[in-house]
Amino acid sequence: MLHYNNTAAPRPRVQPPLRKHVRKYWQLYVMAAIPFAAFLLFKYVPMFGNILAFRKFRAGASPFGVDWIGMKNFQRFLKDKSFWRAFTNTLITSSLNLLFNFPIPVIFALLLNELRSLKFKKLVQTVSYMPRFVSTIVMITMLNEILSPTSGSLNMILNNVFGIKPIYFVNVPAFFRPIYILTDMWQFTGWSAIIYLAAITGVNGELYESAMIDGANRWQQTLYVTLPSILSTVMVMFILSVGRLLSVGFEKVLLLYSPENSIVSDVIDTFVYRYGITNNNYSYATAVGLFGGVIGVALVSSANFVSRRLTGDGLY
Amino acid sequence: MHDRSTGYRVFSAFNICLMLFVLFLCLYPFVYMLAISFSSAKAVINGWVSFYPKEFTLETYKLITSNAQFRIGYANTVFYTVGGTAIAMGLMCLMAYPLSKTFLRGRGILMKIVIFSMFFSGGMIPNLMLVIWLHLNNTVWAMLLPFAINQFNLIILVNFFRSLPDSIEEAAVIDGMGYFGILWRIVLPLSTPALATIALYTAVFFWNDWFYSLIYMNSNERYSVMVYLRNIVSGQSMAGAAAGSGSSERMTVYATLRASSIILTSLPIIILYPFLQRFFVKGLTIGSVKG
Amino acid sequence: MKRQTLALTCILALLIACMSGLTAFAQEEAPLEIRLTYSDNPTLPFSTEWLAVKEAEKLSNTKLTFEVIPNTDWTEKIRAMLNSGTAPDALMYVNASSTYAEFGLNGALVPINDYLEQWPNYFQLVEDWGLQEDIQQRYLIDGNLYYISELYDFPFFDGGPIMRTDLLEEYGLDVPQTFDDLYEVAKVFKEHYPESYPIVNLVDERVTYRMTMPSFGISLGLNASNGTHVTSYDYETKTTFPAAITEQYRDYLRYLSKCYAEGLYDPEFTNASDVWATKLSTGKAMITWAYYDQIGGLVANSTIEGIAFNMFPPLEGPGGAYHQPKSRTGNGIAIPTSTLNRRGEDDVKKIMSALDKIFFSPEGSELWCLGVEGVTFTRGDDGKVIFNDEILASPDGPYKAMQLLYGCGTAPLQLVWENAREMFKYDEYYGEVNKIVADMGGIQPVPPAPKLTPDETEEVNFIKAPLVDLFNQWTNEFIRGTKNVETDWDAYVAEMEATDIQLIVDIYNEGLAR
Repeated sequence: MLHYNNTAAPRPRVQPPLRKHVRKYWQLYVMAAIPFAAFLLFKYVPMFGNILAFRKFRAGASPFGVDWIGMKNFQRFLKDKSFWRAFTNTLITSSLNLLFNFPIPVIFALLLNELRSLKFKKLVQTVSYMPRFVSTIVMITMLNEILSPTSGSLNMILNNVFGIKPIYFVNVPAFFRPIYILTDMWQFTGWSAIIYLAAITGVNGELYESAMIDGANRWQQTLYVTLPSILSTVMVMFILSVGRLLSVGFEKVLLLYSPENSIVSDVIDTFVYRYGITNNNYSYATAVGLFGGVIGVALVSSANFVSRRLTGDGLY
Repeated sequence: MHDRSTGYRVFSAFNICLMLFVLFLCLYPFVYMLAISFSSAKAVINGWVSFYPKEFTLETYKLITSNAQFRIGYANTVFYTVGGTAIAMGLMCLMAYPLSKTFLRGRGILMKIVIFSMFFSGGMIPNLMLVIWLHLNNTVWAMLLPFAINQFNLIILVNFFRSLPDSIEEAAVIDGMGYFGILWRIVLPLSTPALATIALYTAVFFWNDWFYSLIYMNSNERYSVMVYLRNIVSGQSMAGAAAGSGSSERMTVYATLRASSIILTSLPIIILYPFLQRFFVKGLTIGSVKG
Repeated sequence: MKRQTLALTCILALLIACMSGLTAFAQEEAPLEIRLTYSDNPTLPFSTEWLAVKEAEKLSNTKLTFEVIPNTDWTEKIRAMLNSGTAPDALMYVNASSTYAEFGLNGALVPINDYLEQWPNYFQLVEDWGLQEDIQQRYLIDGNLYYISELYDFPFFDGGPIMRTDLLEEYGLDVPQTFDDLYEVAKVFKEHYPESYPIVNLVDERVTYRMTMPSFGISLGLNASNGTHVTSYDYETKTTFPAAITEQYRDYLRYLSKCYAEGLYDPEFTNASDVWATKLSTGKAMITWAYYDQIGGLVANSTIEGIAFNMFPPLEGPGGAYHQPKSRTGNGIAIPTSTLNRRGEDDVKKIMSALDKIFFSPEGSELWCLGVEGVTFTRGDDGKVIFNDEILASPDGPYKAMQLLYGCGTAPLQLVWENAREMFKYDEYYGEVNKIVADMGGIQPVPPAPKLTPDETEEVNFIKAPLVDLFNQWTNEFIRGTKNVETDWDAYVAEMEATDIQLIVDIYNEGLAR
């Protein structure tokens, strides 16, 4: 998904003078100017807007703060237990999510590949990535209706078929992480599988033939031919996922959040939302957000570094 | 490729069952919502509905389609989706084309700037502060501008433009055509699959968004329909420390109303999905065409 | 002769009428445009067609336009508008909490005390109802008043304990007077309906907390009356105390955890209002704290024969029998400084005078409560108000019907609340129970807001947030029994103390002493 290296076209050894180059291609520079200015304004100005983390916010005054306050906010949240709760929750929720929802699309793609009927395969595939296009709010509403202890169909079935008393899925802290992971599975398995499926289809057929000649059964073929062939794709996807470790699906958590399940559901982003937008501590929330962002970058870089060391393949 | 062992046959049967179950899981929530939305509130309250409507009624649809806020929100969502997608496509094409020219000086650094922002972003509060600083909050521009350039989509487009054969353009350059002309008359017509895919991603983003609409907009006149949905779904539990005067706690919104809102807000995707789904997939593969 | 005089008088009268009409026409100014905010409740949605709004425009020769903001995001949106200087001419429904104090002290709001003469009707009412002291409390540390509040002649008992009266009768139970009585009643209900959880929260626990805690001498949680979530106000010593770690609160937890353990308190603490209504109408719950006007809906949707609910005065606990504290000066109007800059001082004065007329003049205040005589209501011989047929026929009851149809009685726009006049909208019982509660002094005033500097406000916000998280977490565990109120209490207190609960108390007390 993320192939953008810059080295494909060999550069001429001796470059013509810059002025000549610009004169020749000025149209291209002009073309890029407006969108690039917009890009800088909306993506980079907020990055520098993070100075608010080191400044005091005054209601009604400049949105980027009025006085320098140094590291006060950082010292404060590093001592704040709720922050650490949010931080560990973020790590736990997303690690668990990675543990389950990273391998499942790979398995799903392999299983899909085993379907003989092409039509059926196509049907399952098409339907399975539909949830990806459902908005979070719609998904959570549907979830609430299905899981409702008073009228939801799941509790009705559990009650009528198995005689289980209604379970309070949504508010009980113990169910929060399973719900988070299962809904992610529902939404993204089909979608994530597409890329693996493309990789599997791309595997050279001769490899299978020679494996069959060697007497490998279907399972062995999968193990020794298919998996190694798609390994680099898997690796790239894995690094990407690690990079997103600190960005738990914020909208979903916010919609599932309740004071009751906050022990497990509060994550960095909801923490920032609660402190910044609902409690008006803009400057403090910015500091927390910045901290999360920096750790995120550190995670991607280290994942990339490790991957380069191990497989010689990285993102950048 | 064929394996006729019993083990494999058992596996195949199991696999087919599993896939049928996957189909069921993906479709059931929508079926359930449809069933609820056409049922009476009483039937839903008493838990009689699970697969098809009980006590069939169109009442909630009448109610929701005559609700002024729902209609305003829906119109806003359509506007943000169409306007936002148009602006995004315009800006991204203009940006991606120069970036696809590997010979262009400065391209490398521009690409690095784009890529860096994928891993580190301003964050929620600074983004809000920027919108406030520019006085964009509660104007349509707060929705139309900040999200116009999505880095992933941009890179898909850059890669697609690069994959076009250089020879076509070279002929045009010799004919004395400018780069704007080349982009408009030659490159874009050749790129319809990529453009369609990206336009779809962008449109889906705008259609589904509720959070940005929620924090950047102030009034019902500007909110998207997803915010309306959120307000009737979980508005009460989110109404925070404010007065405690009870005005939000006194409202009752029934499940039937939520379900019909869901059906109506998902309608475009449900209807268009069978026709558009091939484009959705294309984007993922286009992006990796050329390494 | 007589006839001639009559004819003459008629002609004269006509002439005068014509002339005055003409002069009035000649003098008629273009209506003053005022843009206002409106806090919208999605189930009683704002309408530009409302009679009350149109009449108010006529009354004051204005053109009113509203920025309609859902009540769920109200505070955040007002903040965003003030921060970006994009607020409309006047902000309605703002309250005295620290948020607005912060904006006032930072110069984002116009000090109303510079323009007192623009509000003659308002101050007349303040004097008539003896609210001078309440208004005095609204002045901030800089000596300025930044908003014009709504006014109550005495506080309403609009919500309280609501329970199934048919079941009380069936099992020969008296209406509970104390929390201990209530426990016994809930136990009887549970015996007869083992599948039920008799006591249920409306929306979530904060509603129950704010309506029951005052009987234990405290007010805590998201809707704590002094706005801190973790401290309360002592009405005798007039100081703030760390209520979240006191024995009063421990008693409260003992009570709730006992109910929880015996299956008397619904384990689902968060209930969307339709789920809440479903539980009560289907007999899965029988006791709740909610609002009087919600009873009708509960009965209407039920299939249970003879189901009946009623609302009773606050129950007595160890700290007395009190409903949630209520202020006689609630939310109100503030004018952003941006209006002054945009429209100039003359216009601001005109706007203020117009708002005073619209909301606080006798005609204006009647309009927002009852509507227009001859259209929405007529008066009987005894001065009693009789609503029109459309209102009376509505299944929602007059209170809701009048809002939906005419915009009368909507909380953000009705700023004068005269108890006797309000009672026309409800049945007799509601008036009675209001009287009982008033006589027993069942509603305490909202504690005075401490006069804090912006720095102190910020400091409080910082300390408050982690304390609230701790408080919620422990409270939840105490009630659910995963932590024991007897054995784990000291650990809880230690943790709250380590998180600086005393600091909030100190800052508040210092502010109160100013």
